[in-house]
Amino acid sequence: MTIYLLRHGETIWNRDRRLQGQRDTPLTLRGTHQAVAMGQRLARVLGGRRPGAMLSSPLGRAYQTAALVADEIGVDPDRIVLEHLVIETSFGAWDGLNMEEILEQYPHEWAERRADRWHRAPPGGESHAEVAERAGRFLAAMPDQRPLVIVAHGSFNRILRGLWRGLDGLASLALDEPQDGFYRLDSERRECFIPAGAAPREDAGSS
Amino acid sequence: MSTTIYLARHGETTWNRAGRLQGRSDSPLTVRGVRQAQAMGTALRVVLGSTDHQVWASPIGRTRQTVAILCDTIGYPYHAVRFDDRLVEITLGDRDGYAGWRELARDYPQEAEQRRRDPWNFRHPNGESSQMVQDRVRPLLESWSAEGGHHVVVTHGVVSKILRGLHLGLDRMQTYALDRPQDAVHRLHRDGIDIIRVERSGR
Repeated sequence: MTIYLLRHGETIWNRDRRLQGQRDTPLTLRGTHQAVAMGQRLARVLGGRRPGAMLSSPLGRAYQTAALVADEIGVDPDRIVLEHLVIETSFGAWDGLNMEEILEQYPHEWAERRADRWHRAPPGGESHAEVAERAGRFLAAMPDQRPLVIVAHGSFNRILRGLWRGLDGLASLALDEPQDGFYRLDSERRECFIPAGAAPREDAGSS
Repeated sequence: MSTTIYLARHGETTWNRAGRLQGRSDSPLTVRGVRQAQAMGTALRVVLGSTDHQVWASPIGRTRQTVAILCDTIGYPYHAVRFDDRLVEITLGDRDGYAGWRELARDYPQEAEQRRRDPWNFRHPNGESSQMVQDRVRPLLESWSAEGGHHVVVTHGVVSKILRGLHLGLDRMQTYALDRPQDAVHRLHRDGIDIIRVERSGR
């Protein structure tokens, strides 16, 4: 089973350094270029073949990215399946805030979360443990069509990759969230970063 | 102080390309649509120069996407965009998202006949008529005219036609006959309307 896991391109709030969570802002100009570049790279990686299926988180930024990638890889955008289980982590009351605002308005909750990053949820939001639970449900029930292309999010994707590679929770939180390339998850439970511009480099097992 | 309005339609979306009727439903920009938005921004950056301007947009996804790209290209802060519900596209109500006009006429021949007889006042079930759209955009046009200055407005095909029809004092048939390009910007001013064709890098 091969999965190509993409994060959406840069958005207005990414650039403003605001947490988006399950709120949404559109792609910036740079974000659209990133989406097209990832799509072009993916087209080359697929050797001009279409993927077995293409899934997208239902949030605007992911679906916008998926539509642009679909154009580059020759998939009819109406065939993109919206998958709720891969929606971004909800940060609850912190969705839409920047770090300064969070520290100012929720110093106590922030400290509590730092003390137990994996299990502690932001107020009204999801803990990483809860996200891992739904990511696990997604993996257990995902379509069998190969390869699978998934367009999702920074926080969610780290957790999915951690599960795939068998990392413990905190190790998965240390993974990166690139927008200038994407990951191939292969049947050996390895991941391989594919930059939108150059040759792939590999990472196997637990780091 | 006189008013200049730069009227832009959103870039091509996946449903535009498929011929589907969007109305108030939404679909994302295609690669071509992104390039169109960028080209419109590049053209606007030139014509606006260093004049003060305000950017307005419909809050639907495809216009948000277009205005985000436009803002980056003209150097305008996205958070200063005035999103206004009065700029949303005409809704076909229950028919928003339909496969196309042909399919609509095939499946609802009586509605198609009513529409043919009086297109201006016709509304699909739970939809809007052109008259209703004109009623909601007229106050916007009037406030821009009263305010003066330069306004960049990112909106939709039918809304754009109706705004231009109002601006020029056209009758209904003349309004319907107007175009809805995605590779041009209309400049509305005291003496009429100019069309600014934009450069579009092809695929």
